[in-house]
Amino acid sequence: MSREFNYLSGTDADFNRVSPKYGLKETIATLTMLVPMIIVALVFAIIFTSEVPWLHAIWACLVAFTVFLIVIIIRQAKAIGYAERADDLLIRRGIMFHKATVVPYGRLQFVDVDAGPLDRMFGLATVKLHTASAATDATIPGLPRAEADRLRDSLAGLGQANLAGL
Amino acid sequence: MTEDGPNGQPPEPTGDPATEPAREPAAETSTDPAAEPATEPAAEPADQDAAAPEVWHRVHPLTPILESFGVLVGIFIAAAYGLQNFAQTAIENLARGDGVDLGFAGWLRTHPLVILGGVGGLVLILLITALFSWLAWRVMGYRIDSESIYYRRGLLSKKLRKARLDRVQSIDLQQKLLPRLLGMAELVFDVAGGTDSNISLKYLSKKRAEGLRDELLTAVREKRQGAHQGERTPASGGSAESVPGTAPGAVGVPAGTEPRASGDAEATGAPADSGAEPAIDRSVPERRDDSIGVRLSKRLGSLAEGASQEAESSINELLAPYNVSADISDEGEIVRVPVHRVVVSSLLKSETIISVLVVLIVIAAAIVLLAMGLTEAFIPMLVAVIPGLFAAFSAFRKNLDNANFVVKLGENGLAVNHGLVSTSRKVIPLDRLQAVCLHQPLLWRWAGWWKVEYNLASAGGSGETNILLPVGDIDQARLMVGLALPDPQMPDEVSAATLVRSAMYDRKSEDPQAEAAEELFHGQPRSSRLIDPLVWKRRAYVVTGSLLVLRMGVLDRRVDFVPHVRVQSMSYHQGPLMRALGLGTVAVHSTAGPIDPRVTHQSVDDAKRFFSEHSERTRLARQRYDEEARRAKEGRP
Repeated sequence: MSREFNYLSGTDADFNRVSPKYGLKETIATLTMLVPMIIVALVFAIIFTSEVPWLHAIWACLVAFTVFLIVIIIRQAKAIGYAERADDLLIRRGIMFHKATVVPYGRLQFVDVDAGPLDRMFGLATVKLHTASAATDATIPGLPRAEADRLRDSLAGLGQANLAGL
Repeated sequence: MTEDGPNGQPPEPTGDPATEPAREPAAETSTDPAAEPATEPAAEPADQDAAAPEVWHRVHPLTPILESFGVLVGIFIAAAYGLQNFAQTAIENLARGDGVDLGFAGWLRTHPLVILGGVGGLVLILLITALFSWLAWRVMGYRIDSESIYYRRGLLSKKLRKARLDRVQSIDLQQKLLPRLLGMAELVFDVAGGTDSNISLKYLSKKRAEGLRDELLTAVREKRQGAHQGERTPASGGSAESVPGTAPGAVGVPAGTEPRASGDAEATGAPADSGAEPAIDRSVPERRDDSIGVRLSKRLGSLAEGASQEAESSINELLAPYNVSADISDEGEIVRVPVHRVVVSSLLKSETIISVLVVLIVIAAAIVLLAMGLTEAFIPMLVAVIPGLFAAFSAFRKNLDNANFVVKLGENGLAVNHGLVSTSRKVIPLDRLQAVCLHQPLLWRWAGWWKVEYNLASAGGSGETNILLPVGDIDQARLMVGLALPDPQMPDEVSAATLVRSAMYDRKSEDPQAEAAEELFHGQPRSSRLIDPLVWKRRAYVVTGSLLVLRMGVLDRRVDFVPHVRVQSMSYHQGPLMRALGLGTVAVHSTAGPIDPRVTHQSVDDAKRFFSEHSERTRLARQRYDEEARRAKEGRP
């Protein structure tokens, strides 16, 4: 497992993981979409089971897809990490598609903390970092609420350093 | 159009009732509350302030008509389309030997009431339109107080936009074709904020717009000056001194060529040079990582007006690393792009060529079909070509917008005038450029032309407007790139000029030092040829003391330049295919604009090393940049 998480060699950072509840939350979010679909497919398959028996294949496929998706989501949730370094924040995510983003504190314009209804149910929040560049895609999802607030405050303090060259 | 200039000039009594309400002096509210005539629109109760009633100035009365002109054109086109359908059937009928179907016309002749009703309806529509235009005009207006500018409009859904003067980045005077014919202009306020945060004040008579712009620029500048002084009190003396009362305009511009309200400028003690935007902060002396244009502007600030000789030698000294020299004409122009070059270059763009080819093929096919005897298909096919022609023409016209592209170097950056049928004027604030790129479409090669674009730290960065040079020969392109970039801080054995040449022409560079320069480039590994079969040999990056240079594009050549101090954030990316080939990509995030710099498909180790080293490098560059500014401020009493 650890092999996949250490693709970013050459950085001396200890990565913090996001809350373990985040995987659960994402799973539930996915299930709210997929479970009704499975139920509908199942009902149709049972009703028309004598006329078109291959209808059963549809819900079977959906179930398989759901299981596959959940495995991926949980693994992805575990792969998210962030590290507060001396001068920048490092975020990495992804198992199939590795992605690492480094955001210097001096470049921060503002920091968002979002919490949707599902997030709030689990006591989670998403921290999003904004620089002057729209390409900066620096989001840390699934932080415990308190940690999110602490991170926002500490980043806001650090971001007050001079915005050089803007 | 005899409307008064703003700010204190007495209104000239003219007998034009339509412009009457718009002719109130655009003075700041607080100074002039009593002079408000009773003709002021019945201001909404919400706007009534007990202390100082707010003064809303009206825009030009033709505005609603100009704005709805698009709708009129649409109706016209629809009508024309209907007529064209009718004509087409008529022609087809004639071709087939039948008579034209005039049944409808005959029916009309027997029913004169229908004609009367039609005409009456038309008149009614016109009247209603006029009424609504008038009502809409009544609610359109703007207001300026000491803090902000407000713009309101909208009859049914009211809109009020507000921009704080100290957040206004630039004020552009824009003249589209139709307003220009009527002598009108619109003022566009670029506000630091999200996209679509601009305020577009339209329409004003040109004279009034110019006056208002000068006045507001003064206000904006004073505002910023005040903010700066409040920010760092120790430097206030120096920064106040560094805005000279002599107000040197663009390099060598003879005083008086620009219609500027010199009286105003003297009265307020701040220069109101036209086109002057938020000034380059001259309280900080030249820094090594400032772009050369900024350093030049800072030097120009201390030069006397019209010293074009001195300015020229300054330019050439600073641009020495890039091995280009600028000749400044008497009017202070450093680059002028003639119309014919814009025309030829836009014809040579791949898009234009493709659309022309498509049209030609369709016409040829139609003729072949005609020869084969399929007459039915001929006319519809020709008609089908028309939208294609329109598209090609509109693309062409958009390029023509860059005709007469004239660049002057001023103390606030590069002042750019461009446009053939409609002129625009803007200032490119060199101190806020984030990245620059050179671009050469395939067919420009034989002419050796290049295009220069940039990213700006501001909203509204659509690729069409971020143009530093629409088309130019290699010397002009290198001049503009040199002005927009800092001193590259090259190793001794290779000059920046050689590097830029190698970046432009890869191994075909004819520079004597090209071999040495090529050594500096980090190319893509051989394994990347599966993903980039064509470009893998050309794509490469170089890191100099202050710049990241990216060489890209094998057919459409392209070179990106990103100064280290301007890098926002970075990301490293690797997908499954790239992992299989052992490759990784690093994106260097710049602000929104045509440039999206990426170090693509390097070997994993190189990419990771670049990722961590470059983030360190940019951090150090930023630190040094800030350090120099701080030291400069402390150094000054």
